[in-house]
Amino acid sequence: MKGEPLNILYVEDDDDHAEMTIRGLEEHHVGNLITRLSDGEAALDYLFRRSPYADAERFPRPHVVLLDLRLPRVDGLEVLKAIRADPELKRVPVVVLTTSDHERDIARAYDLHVNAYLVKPVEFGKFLDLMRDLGFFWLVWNRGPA
Amino acid sequence: MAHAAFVTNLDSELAVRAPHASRGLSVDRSVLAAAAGVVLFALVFAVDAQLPPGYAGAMAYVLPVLLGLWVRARAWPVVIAGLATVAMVVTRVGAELPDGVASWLMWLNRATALVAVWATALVVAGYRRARAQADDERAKIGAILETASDAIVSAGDDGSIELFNSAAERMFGWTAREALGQPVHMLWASPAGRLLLAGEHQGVRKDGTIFPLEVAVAEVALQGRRIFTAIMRDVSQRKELERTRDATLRSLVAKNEELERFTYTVSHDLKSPLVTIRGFLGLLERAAVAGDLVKVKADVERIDAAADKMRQLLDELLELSRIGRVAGPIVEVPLSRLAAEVLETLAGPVAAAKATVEIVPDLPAVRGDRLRLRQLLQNLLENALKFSAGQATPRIRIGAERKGAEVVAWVQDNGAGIDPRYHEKVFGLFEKLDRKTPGTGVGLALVRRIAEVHEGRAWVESEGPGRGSRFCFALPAAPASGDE
Repeated sequence: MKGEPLNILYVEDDDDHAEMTIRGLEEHHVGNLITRLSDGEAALDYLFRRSPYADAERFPRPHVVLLDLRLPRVDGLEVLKAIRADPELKRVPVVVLTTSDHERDIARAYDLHVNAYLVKPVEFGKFLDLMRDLGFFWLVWNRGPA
Repeated sequence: MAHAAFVTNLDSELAVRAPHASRGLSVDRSVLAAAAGVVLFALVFAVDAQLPPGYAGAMAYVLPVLLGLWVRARAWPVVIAGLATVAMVVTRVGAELPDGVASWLMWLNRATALVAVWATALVVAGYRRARAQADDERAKIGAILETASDAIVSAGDDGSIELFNSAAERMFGWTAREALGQPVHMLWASPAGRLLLAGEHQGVRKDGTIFPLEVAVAEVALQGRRIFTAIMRDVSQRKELERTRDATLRSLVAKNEELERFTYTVSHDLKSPLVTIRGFLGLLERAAVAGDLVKVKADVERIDAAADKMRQLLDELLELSRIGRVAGPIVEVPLSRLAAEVLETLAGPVAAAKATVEIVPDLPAVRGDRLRLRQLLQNLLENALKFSAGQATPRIRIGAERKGAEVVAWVQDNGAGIDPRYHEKVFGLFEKLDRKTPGTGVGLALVRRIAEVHEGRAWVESEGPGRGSRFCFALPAAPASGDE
């Protein structure tokens, strides 16, 4: 394992799902630093370092963005679009993590160059497996952009 | 031949203008002509027989042959010419020749007369045959004109009607007798011109009703005169079908979009509580195994809340699908009374929010399903209460005014306001701008859906956060009675 912690920006409006995901990731002791935001507008403010997230020290640029699609105000696909349109942010890996397996969402996410599209498994065992694999993949196996 | 052409033309005009009169006239003429022919023949015979040989009395046999133009029996010219031949020969065979008249001269005289008589007979027979063929042609065309399902109307360059078939009689309500000679523009609803014009027009019936027409026009020059013939089709049925088809298509598209929205919502929002339930069941199991009763209780509460959320989503989804599917009667709904009713229903929440609700007096009436409109207004009022709850003195105003054929009504608050970026999003199903506000986010979707099934619209006007909002809906106005 690498020593450096992985900064994850996690955008999720459902508190229950957020708790399950965070607990799932922590359970596998992946050295993560998870910042959770609950709507798309806040996510954009964070990524573009707008108030109240202007402090680059306290709010570092994430190594990976975990993004739900159905979000209040600005939805996930719009957040993804804004990331891909920005010259500085466009390389940040974005993983969609959502309940929807609707073809339209999947197609649109890939059209916007999503790095992975994950559907939250209903079964809790599988949900935990996914969190474990997700943590390992991005922390251990994946080489991110410099 | 010019003579023959003139007669044909005269006859054809007679046939067109008075198709039933010509037959009775020709019977009389035929009998008269035959009688005149017999008398003439006898007269010529008598005179010829008395004349000394060498005089050209036989030439007059041409006259009874010519009467074959009017005698109906087609054999007439040939029979008369034959009889004349016999008569010419009989009266001269063995006759005594006067002095100075050679026999060959006398017979040459006879032969000349015979040639004249037979030539006339052939011309008359030929003319008769041509006329019979022309009659057949005309009968054929007449049958086509009368059986055509399209109206066929001809007019000269002065614009007066010269032909009006039975389909035209049925289409316009005028009889041919009434229409002939009238200006053709009496058939147009709009002053499209004196003449017949191709294209789509508004036709007008005798009773004044207007209907859509498709017109094709042909122009022919007849002996220097231009005749315009129009074939016209009443396309009101087709237009009606097109309208029905378009409406069906529109409703189909709307239904399809609704279905799409439904599956989208199911795949997102309905699945979400299920993930929560299964997840916390897993966590609950662990807590139970560990004997952590505090965690067990907390997890059970989360599961319970998620199940409850799911039930609520299902109920609201079903309610939304019921709109447009289950329709009440369309009646006149006075908005003043409706607003008063809704305010009464929500008296409790209004008092709890310490809000003042003002209803602008004398609101107009709209047409719609009363129950649904009440639901619409109630949702807007609840929404206004919800989002002005943060104010020290929430003020809400309900108003409406007539704008043309519709009524635009509104519910205005001095509450949270909405960023213009989200003015559309707030009407989305299960969309919430702030996830902490109570409710599932179905209210405004219901409002828009109800407005849409009434062929109306719903939208929001707000200058932004903190500036209050005005939710508007436009509905078809009830027929004005208090306006006069």
